[in-house]
Amino acid sequence: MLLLVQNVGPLDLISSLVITLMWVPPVFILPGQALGLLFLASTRETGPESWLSRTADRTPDWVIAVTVMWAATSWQLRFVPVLVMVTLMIVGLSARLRNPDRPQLIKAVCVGLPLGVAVLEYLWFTPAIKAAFANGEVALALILLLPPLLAPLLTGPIPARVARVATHAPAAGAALLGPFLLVAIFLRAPILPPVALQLNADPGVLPKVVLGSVVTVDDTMTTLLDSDGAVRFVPNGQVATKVLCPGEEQIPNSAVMAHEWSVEQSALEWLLPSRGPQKETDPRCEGRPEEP
Amino acid sequence: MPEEDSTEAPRGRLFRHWGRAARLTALLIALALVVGTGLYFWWQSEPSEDDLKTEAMLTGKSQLLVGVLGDIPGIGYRDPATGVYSGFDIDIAYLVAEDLGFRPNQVRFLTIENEDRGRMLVNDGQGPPLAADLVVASYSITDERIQKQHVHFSAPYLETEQSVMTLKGHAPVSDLSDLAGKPVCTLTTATSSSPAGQAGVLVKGNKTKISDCLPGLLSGEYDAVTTDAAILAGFVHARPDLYEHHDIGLVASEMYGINTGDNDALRQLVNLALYRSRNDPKDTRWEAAYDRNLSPEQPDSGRQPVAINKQPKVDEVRIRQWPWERLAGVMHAPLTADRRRRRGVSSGR
Repeated sequence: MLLLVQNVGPLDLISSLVITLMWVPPVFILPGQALGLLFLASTRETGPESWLSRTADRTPDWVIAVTVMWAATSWQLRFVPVLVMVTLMIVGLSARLRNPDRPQLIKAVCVGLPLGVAVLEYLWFTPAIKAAFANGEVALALILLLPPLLAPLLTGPIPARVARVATHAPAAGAALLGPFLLVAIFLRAPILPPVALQLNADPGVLPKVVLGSVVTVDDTMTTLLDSDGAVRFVPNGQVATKVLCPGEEQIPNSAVMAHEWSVEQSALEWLLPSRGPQKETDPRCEGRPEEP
Repeated sequence: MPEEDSTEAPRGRLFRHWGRAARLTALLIALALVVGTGLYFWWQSEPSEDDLKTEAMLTGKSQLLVGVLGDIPGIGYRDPATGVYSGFDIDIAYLVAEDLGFRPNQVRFLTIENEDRGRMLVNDGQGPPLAADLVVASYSITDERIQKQHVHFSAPYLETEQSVMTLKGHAPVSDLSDLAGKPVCTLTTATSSSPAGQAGVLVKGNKTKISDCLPGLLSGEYDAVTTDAAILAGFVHARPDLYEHHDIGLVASEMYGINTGDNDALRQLVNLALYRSRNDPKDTRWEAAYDRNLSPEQPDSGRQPVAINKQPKVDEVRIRQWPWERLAGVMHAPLTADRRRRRGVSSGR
């Protein structure tokens, strides 16, 4: 532990944290805002305010707008219909709350707009939905298919009696379980580069290959953390060759594409240039020495 | 005005009430959908090929130990002079090992006894028996063998059938009942012993290796030898002046599978290799192995087919893959440095 702290800088850890968890804040902000507004709209005449509705009321519009754009770039494509559903919910409920005496506007924003957006979404996603059903990926198909249908229904008040429970229970649950989820995601993030070191061997003997993550390299020794979590010190004189092993690439689970974009990619991943994953597997990365 | 309000209000209120109830339902569905699919995506995950290799404990393995037969020409034969193994089973083992990431010089073959094919124990002549990683030894897939603990077959890699071999000049045998009452040699562990017994043949099955039947056949102790056609064809091809191969027309076919023991990840990787070999039109390794080992034996076997000359069907193995590796429904193996070199050479041939 001390070895890691001495050699892995705080900037590395923080940047790893940021990169892995970049998509998370909108997951809490946007549904929280939507549920708070729903509570307000449902209990405007009758009920007292709560922590959720106060927060929703006080959040400025520009914060929500920025959060929506943040989510649009960092969330995977397959979650975009859900994002659109939550955004329409926020927009519709805000319009309802701010313009109680303009029924035409409310109808347009709460019913007309979601329906129009649903048409656009189906135009874009229908081939992907059909492919998902064809592949037997029911969960993926449902999460692309259902949100546009539910959006027009979610832009209005729910029965006042159940409003408190229906909005506060999910919000409280997310607030309680959220930290555990964040820790679980962060612990999976790779920090140290994985390498394979091929050691010198006497002629006739098969060379050994050591796999692990490099903690530090100095002029005499390379310190590695191997796959069992043990620390190994390998003298530099013993190392014949070394190679950087591409870490476990994020191979997608689903082959479904929407207009040639994989549903498991986010907009950020398309915009940023990135080296494609290695097509050749170096035998040293699998623990076997290379032929001379 | 108030009357209109009071008659209109109940209907309006009812409409509003049902509208709110519908919205509540929609909210609950939306929450269930988001949470449910989120958890599902988090937990469901097919392994990728690298995940399977790690699970099969292949990472860090310097050598793949394969148990094969050593006494059957064409299938698994060890040259006594050089100690080099050759045959169809050997070539299939090389095919699978290559896809697992082992080069030919990283595959070690050792002879396995027929009764040890289930236990996967091989002997290198020094020290205690070793546990083989794979057993590629004309091991037929049967329900009885699958029931045994620790025996797990891959998809089949060859389909053949039971046949009969006699000395040259013997009367034609078209059915096992033609040999009723005559002594016929086979293996104790073979799938061929029960159809023979049912046909009224005197089964002499106390041999551990099928090649042990040959001296008895030559001396006249046995009238015939019965086992799989692919095995007998090898003996007939080695000495066509001595032996003759007969087609007995049994319907049941023998499907050879690779025993991977308790290592399920390895079994999936073997199936993946066989699936690619079957479905990738550019992958001709199985066909080359057949042409090299079994096709030359066919002329000496006459009407008895040595084996089916098309690779048996293999079910798809579901793994996570990059989209470009899934071209046209066929999964291509990621190219290792050797495969690139080999493909480059073979395309010029």
